[in-house]
Amino acid sequence: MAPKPRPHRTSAASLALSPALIAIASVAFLLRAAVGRHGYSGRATPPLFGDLEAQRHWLEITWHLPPSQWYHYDQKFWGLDYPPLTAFVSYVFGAIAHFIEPSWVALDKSRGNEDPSLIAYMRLSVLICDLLVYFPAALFFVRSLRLPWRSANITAWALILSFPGLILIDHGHFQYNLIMLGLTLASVAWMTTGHPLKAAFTFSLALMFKQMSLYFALPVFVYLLAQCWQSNHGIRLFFQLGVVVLATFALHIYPFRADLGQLVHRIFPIARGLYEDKVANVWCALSPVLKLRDRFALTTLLRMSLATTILASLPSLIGLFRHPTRYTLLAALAAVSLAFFLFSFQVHEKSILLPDLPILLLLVVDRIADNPRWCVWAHVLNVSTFSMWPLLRRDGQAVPYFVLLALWNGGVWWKSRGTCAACPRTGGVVGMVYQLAVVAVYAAAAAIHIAEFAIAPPARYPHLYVLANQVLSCGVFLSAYAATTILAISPPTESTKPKIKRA
Amino acid sequence: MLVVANLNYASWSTVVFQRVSVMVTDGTLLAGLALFFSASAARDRPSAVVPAGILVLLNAGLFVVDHMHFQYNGFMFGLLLIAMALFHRGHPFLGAFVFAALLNFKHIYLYVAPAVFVYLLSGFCLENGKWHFTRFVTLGLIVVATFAVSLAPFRDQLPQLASRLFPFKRGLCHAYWSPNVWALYAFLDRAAMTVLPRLLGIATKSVAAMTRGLVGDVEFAVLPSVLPIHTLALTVLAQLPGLVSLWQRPTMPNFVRVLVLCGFAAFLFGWHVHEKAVLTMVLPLGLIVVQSMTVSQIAYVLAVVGSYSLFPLVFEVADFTTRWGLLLSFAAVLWLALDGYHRRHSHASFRLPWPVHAYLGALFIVEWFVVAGHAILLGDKLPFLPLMAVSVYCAVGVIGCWIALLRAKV
Repeated sequence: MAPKPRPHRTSAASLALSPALIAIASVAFLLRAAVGRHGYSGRATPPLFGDLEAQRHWLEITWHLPPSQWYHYDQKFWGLDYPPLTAFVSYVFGAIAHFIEPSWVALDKSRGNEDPSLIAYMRLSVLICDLLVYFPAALFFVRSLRLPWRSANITAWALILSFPGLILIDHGHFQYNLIMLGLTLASVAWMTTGHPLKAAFTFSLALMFKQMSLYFALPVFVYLLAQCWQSNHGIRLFFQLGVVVLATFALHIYPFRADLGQLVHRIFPIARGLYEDKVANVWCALSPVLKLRDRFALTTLLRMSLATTILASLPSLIGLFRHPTRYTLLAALAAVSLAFFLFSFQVHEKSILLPDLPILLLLVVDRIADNPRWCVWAHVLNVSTFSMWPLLRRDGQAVPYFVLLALWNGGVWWKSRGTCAACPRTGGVVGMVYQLAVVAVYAAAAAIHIAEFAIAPPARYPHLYVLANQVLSCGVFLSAYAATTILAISPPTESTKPKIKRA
Repeated sequence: MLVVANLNYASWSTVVFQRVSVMVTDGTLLAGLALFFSASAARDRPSAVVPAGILVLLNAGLFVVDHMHFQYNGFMFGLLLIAMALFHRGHPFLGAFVFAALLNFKHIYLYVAPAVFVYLLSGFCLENGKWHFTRFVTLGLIVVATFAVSLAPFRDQLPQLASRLFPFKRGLCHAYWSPNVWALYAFLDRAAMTVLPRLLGIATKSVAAMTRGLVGDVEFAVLPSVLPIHTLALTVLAQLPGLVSLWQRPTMPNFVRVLVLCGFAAFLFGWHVHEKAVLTMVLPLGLIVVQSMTVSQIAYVLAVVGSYSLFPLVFEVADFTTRWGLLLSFAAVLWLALDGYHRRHSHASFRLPWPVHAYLGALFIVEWFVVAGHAILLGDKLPFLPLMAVSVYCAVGVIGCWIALLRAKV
C-alpha cells in the first residue's frame, strides 16, 4: 500500500494556475454563463423594460454625450443614479459595444433593443468584470487568511465563488454589484494584513462605484481609525488616509464639478420615500400594522430612519474599535450593514447582497476553522436568497434559483461534521430553541413556496406571499443582526481564531 | 403535446417534460457504470470509478448533444455500458439481449457490433479451445428473437424502414463535416481545387460549396469520388486488426479497446457520419480510462477534442459562454481526477506530451478564428472556412488518438 501523500503546504506560487484553481474558476464561470441564459430584469416589457436596459442605456449616453450631460440627460428614462465610477465603466463597455455594432448603443434609437447578440454582449460584460475583479479579489482575500493547507484555500475560494445570491442577481437579474463587492473584498484583505492605505483606496473606489457601499463605510472607518489609534504614527497615518480618500473622490468627481448638486440629487433620491416596493426591512414589515409612510412627514421619517440606523450600528462599532481583529471586522461589517438594511431609507431587496458578503466570509472562516457557528451563517444566506425570490421569479430566474440553492447547500453541508449547534458555550434550552427556530423558518419558507405555486392569493391581498416572504426574512435578518452585534462586542476568544486543521 | 399535426409545438410544459425525460433516462449511464465497477471492486481498482464517472457523466460533449441540442444518446450509451457490464460480470446471454435491444433503439451501434460478435465468439463460445455449439445457437436465437419482436409490427414496411434508417442519399459528409478522414479528403480536394488552376493553369469543374449547412451529395473536383461501397470496404479493413487482436485475446480490457477501435474505424471511414458519433469512442473508453497512463492520455485528448468538435451544434451567440464553461470545467475536473488517480496508484502525475498540450491549447485559436478571426481577416469570403477549420483541426486529433489506441497495449 502506498503511503498516504501529505497535503501540499501553501505558498504564493502554488496557488497560481493549479488545475484545482482552474477547475473551480471554470465551474464558477459555467454556473454564471448558464444563469445568464435565463431571463433578465425587464425582458419584453416595454416601454421602460428593466435593469438590463438601464445599464445598456448608460453605455449609450456615456459613449455619445460629454460628462456634463451624463447626470442630466432625459431623467425619465433611466437617469444615471450611481456615482461616477459606474459611469466610467459604462463608458468603456459602451466604446467596445460601439466598435462591435454601433446600433447597439445608437443615441436614442437603441432604446429597448433586445437583439440576442446585444443581450449576449451585456451578459459577457458582467462575466468579464467577474473574472477581472471578483474572482481575483476573492482569491486575494483567501490568501490573506494565511490558511496552512492548500485544500483549505481551494475550499474557501470555491465557497465564496458559489454563493447563489450574487450569481442570480448579477448574472440573472442583471447588475454589476460584483465590482463593488470585489473591491470591498480586496479592501478587507488589505486592511487585515496591514496595508491601510491600499485598503482605503480600494474602498473609496467601491464607494465611487455604488453608493450602497456606504453600508460598510462606518466599520471600515472605525477599523482604520483603530489602526491609527494603535499605531505609533497614528496622526500621520490618519492624514495619509484622509488624503488618499479625498484624492480618490476628487479624481472621480472632477468631471462633474460644475453641478455637484444634481449628482447628489441623483445618487441619494430621498424624495422617493421610506421604501418603494416590498422589502425585508423593518419599516416595510411593520406596514401591515403601522403605515408609517402615510402617518409622518418625509423629514420626520428621514430623521427617524437615520437615528435608528446609527443607534443600531453603534454597539458593533464600539466593539470593533476596542478590538480591531479580522473576525470582529467581519462581524461588525455584517452587523452594521444589516442595521442599514433593516432601518435605513429607500432599501431595495437586492441590498441584502451587502450584508451577505461579510456573512459569507464569516461562513468561510468558521467553516474552515470547524467552528460550529458556521451553520448560522449558512442558514442566514439561504434565507437571504429566499428573500429575493419574488424578484427572481419576475425575472424568469426560477429554475436557476432552485438549482443553485441545491448545489450550494450540497457543497456547504457536504462532509459537515454532525448537526448544527449553537455557540458552544450555551447548550440546553438555548440550543433547543435555536434548532426549533431553524426548522420553523425552513418549514415556513417551503410552505410559502408551495402555497404560491398551488393556491392563488386572495383577491383582497394579492401580494400576500411576497409579504409573508419579506416578514419571515425580516425576522431572520433581525436575529442575524443580533448575533453579529453580539459577536462584534465580545472580545476575541480562542474559538474565533482559525484553528490549524490537520488533514 | 401529443397531437401529430402540432409541428413546432413548444409549450413550457412540453419543453420541461422532454428535457427532464432526457435527464431521467441518463440514469442508465449511472447504472452501467455502477454495474461494471462493482464487479471490479473486489480485485481491481475501486477508485477508478471517479475518473470514469467524470468522463461519462460530466462529459461536455454529451451535455451539448443531449441537453442543449436535444437527443437521447445518454440513454443509449447507458444501455451499451450495461451490456458491457453484464459481459464483465459473466452474464453473456443477458448482455447479448441488452445489446440486441440497443441495436433496435439506435442502429448506430452496428458500428461496434463486430467487436461484440467476436468477443462473444472467441471469449464465450470458444472456451479453452473447446467449441460450445449450444452457447452459439442460444446467443443467435436471443438476437434473432429480439429483432423479430422489435420489427414484427413493421414487417410490411421494411423497405421504407431501411431507407429511413440507412439514408445513403444524404451524401458522404454530413452538413457540417465530422472530423474524419473524409473531412481531410474533402479539404485536400478543395485546397487542390483552389491551388491547382494557378499552378497548372487548368480549369477544374466548379463545385458548389460542400459545407453549406445543408444536406446533399458531394462531388469532388480533383480527387476520385467516393461511393458507399468504398467506405464500407475501408471501414471493414480498418476494423480488422482490432478484431484479430480481440479474437486472440478476448479479455475485458481488450474488448473495450477493440469496441472503441471499431467505433473509430466506422467514424473515420464511414458514410455520412454525424459528429456526435465521436461519443461512441469516448464514453466506452471510460470503462478502461485508468488502465494505463497511455489510455488515460488518449481518453483525455479524445474527450476534449470530441467535445470541442460538437460546438458547431450550439452556434448561437448566447451559448458561447455556456459551451466554453462546459468544456473548460470538464477538461479541468477530468484532469484533476486522472491526476489524483495516477498520483495515488503509480506516483506519477498526469501529463500530456508537450506537442499534444500545444495542440489542445491551440483550440482557443481555432475558436477565435471561428468567432471573430474569420470576420476580421476575410470578411465575407470563403464562408465555409470556419466550419472546415474546426473539422480538419479536430480530425487530426481524432486520427492521432486512433493510431495511439491501435498501438496501445491493454
